[in-house]
Amino acid sequence: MEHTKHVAPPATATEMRRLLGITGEEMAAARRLLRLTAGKDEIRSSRAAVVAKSTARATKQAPGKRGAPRSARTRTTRS
Amino acid sequence: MPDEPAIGKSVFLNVPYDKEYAPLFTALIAGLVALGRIPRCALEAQSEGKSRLQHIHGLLASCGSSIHDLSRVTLSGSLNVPRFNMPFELGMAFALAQSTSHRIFTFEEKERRIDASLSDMKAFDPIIHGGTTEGILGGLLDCFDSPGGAPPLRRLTSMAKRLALVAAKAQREFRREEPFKRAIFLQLCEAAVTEATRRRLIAK
Repeated sequence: MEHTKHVAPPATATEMRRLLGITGEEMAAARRLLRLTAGKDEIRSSRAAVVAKSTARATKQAPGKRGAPRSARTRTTRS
Repeated sequence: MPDEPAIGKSVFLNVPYDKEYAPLFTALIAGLVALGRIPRCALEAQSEGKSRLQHIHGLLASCGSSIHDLSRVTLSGSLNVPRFNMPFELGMAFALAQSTSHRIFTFEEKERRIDASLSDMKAFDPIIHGGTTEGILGGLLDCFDSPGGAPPLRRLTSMAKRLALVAAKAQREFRREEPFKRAIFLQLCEAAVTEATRRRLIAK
């Protein structure tokens, strides 16, 4: 009997805030917390992106070096 | 009293307020909001004694369903006694369900334990979460659905991970070891709403 799912249309963000009585102060605090915690993830992912980009550039610029793509290693450079 | 559609979308959380349960509580908030449900709990009732119970009863009556986690059946605290608040509130919800469309969902950490601790609830087939956030989120997907279909588990997990970071930061700011404080609960709800909107899990 109790295993059937409870089906209801999803509440909107406005409905949720109204029902919970969320104040402007709480909204500001939550957004600040999201910003502060998102920072770490973004820094980590942007650092990873920079490393990946520079690695790609290095392997491209130095064909024959270990780690370079096969196409770059075997490519003959024109002088 | 909220209007009828809002009642159907609200879920009362009757769960242990202890340090071990904190990550599961945060996961419940994240998962419910991602599923378009509005989490409500006794933390919203600030008074004590009779008026607190009346407030909890009012909150339960304003929710279309409730989750009752009966994982804490062991002796606890300095007096080494079992906690009766959760079974008591489950009883209140059961009485409500006899006269309204209120739905009850029972959660347990361990399989078959409820058969011994509260055999009256055997027929309710509890969701066994194993004390993990994935277990909790999977349990929510077993309980709730929307006409358009529910998001997959991996999206709920991602939301829960994000909210766990926010909870840790909020707890540090309030100098608390767990999130069981009204202000933290509301900030977590708001953070979940903002994040679910950004991820297009719910509409603005």
